[in-house]
Amino acid sequence: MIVDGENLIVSCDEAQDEIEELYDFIKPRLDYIESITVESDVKLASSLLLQLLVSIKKSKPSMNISILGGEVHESKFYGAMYWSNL
Amino acid sequence: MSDKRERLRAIFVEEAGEIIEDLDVKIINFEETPEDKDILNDIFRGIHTLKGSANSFGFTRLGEYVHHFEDVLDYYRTDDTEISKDVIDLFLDSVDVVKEMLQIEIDESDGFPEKYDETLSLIREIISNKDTNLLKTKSIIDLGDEFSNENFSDTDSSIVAKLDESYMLAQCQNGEKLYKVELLFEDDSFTRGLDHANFLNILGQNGRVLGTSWDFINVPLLDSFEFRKNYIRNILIYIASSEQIELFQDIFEFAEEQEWTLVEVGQGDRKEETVALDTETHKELKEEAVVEKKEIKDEQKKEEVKKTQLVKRSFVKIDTEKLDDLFDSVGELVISQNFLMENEAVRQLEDVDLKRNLETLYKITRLIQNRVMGLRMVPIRDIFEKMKRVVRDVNKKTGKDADLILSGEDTEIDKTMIDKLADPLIHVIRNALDHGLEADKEQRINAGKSVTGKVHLKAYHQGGNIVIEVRDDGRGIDPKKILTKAIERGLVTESEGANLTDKQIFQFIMHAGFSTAEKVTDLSGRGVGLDVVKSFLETMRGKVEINSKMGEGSSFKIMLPLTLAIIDGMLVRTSDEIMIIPTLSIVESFRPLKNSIHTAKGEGEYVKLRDELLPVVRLNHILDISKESVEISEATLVSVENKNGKFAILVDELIGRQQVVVKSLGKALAGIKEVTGGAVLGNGDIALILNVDELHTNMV
Repeated sequence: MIVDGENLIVSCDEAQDEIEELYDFIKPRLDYIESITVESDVKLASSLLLQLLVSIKKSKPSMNISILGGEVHESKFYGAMYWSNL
Repeated sequence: MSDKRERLRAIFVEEAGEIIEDLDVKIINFEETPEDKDILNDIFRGIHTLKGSANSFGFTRLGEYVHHFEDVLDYYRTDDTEISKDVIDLFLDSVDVVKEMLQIEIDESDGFPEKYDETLSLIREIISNKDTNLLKTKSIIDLGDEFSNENFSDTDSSIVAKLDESYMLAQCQNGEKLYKVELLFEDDSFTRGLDHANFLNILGQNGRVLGTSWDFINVPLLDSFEFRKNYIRNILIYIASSEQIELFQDIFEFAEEQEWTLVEVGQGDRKEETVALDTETHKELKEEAVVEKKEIKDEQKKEEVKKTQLVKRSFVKIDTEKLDDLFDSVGELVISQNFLMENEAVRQLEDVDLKRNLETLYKITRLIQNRVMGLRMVPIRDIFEKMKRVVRDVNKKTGKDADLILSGEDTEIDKTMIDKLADPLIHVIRNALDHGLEADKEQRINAGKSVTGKVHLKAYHQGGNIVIEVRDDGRGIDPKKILTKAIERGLVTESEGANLTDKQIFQFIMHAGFSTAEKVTDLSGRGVGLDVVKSFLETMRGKVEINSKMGEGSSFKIMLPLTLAIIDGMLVRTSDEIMIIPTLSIVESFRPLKNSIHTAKGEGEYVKLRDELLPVVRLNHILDISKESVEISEATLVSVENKNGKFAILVDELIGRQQVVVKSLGKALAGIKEVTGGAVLGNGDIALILNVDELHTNMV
């Protein structure tokens, strides 16, 4: 996890304990973070990351989260990833 | 008539209804993709079945008509003649005749449908222009092939292969099979070491993941987010692989049986391989290929048999009443289980094993409840597809040119609602086409729009509800015109009207008999259509939001609960009574400041919330629970919205949000318009579900 001003950079291969750190970090700072860039050139280590990002997006719809930007995300590992009920 | 024959007749009527029901949708789909003769073959088979059964049950007039209809379908399916718009019109009219004819036969009444003679003479005209003997011989041969090769009862090809699967299948390379995997992990899956990502990666090591679909409906806001609890409802994965199914089954060895499904969808196209081998220089290889091809064919046959068995096993017809009974019983089970969990003695138990068993019981009960609920849920696709015919008919009648754009057809909705949704939806769509879109092409061109009007029909989930949105890109609704009409009809006074927002003004068009149409057409304009929508919404506990911008278009957002059997509600306490406010109606809750409260003599109490002045409704007064009048500033207010606008319900305490099984009230309480039903709470108490529409009706 890298904090770059109001942008947070996380990687898809974050392990569960790293995702927990992200959760603890972001919860009290939700108002100050404007965007999250997810580096998706690596395989997803845990789907906990995706559900956490979705929860963040639902809590702050204005948040720009790179892989959740549209209804579909093209992944070189998982093909077309369709999101529903974001 | 003997009982047995009567029973068989009833089965025929039901099956005939099913065959006829979606014929027009199939015809319109064929019009959109005329190169797909499979659709025409499908229509033909339906009509052919109908002909045979109709004659054997003495429905000879129907049998005679479908015999001719079958002839004309047969002609076009076996000939490359281009099918014109007029022929499609004829097919659709013929379907209408078949529908009416069936009803006439069921009613055992005399006469023929209005278009009977007209369509029959057109059919005869087409047939007489061709060598029918030759065509008939051909059709008998073709039909024989079809009967021997296909499972005739499964005429709906969409059951076997959906469009997206065909696309995925097309991505499979030579020798690859397409597998469909669904992961339905429970909420404790992460703590049990099950992570979707791990499975996805292992699947990826054994094939190519072509696509995935993730359902995040259960993911809560960050405030309620519990780390390591699984909120992902399901993931659908399509994977292309040359591996056998057994290998994939082994991957799920440690997951519970109900947490995954795996289906082999089909195999990639091998045509290219055969062509490549078909050269003289590769004679030996060719021979080997023939052997291999035979093996593949045998394997494919086996797969087809397996697939047919799978389909047969997967679809069972069940009377919806039986499903309702099952749901009621599960509702009782959930309530009993809640009793058990809330029981004081049980809560104080210290036996760890017993507690764990109770926890398992709780989880299984919830699982059963969700699965039974799932049985009632069906995709909205069928009803959406039917709207294509509506648009086509209205285009023809009005001379307008409009496209219907569908999205979210796979969104699921309670079967009870879907049966009642067709009529209101037809009214909203007709309204959009007839009044929403500009009267002619010139008006659209002058407004800088495309000649073809667009009506979007979209379904999606939003906050535990289903939203069906009809949006047009037409001229929009003039709020001034609506308000003038509402004042004329005495629905609102001029001074009251001046304070209404556009959204509130648009709600007047839902009133019975309300129409601003200058010209009454047989499609809409009598002010009856949208009243049907209103009645439907009242029955279904839904609501409609109308938005419009002059010159840009209008949208009707119909919001419905996912099911009628369970309601998502906010439990509130007033005096000693617990009440439930449906969350669909709640905007927000708040504690008012002293200086935001206003009292107008004879006009009641109001609270200022930001820029709005909301009337305050004291629940205990309105429901005659007590005469006590607590200070508003010491109470909690729940801002709700009904068809007339927003108001604030004063309650003593907000208890929490909960899903409850709705129980109908007995006759004694049925007359209380402020409540719609009751629910049994975990402690055995009964809570009444409030009817927000009737709590405060004199605001406008």
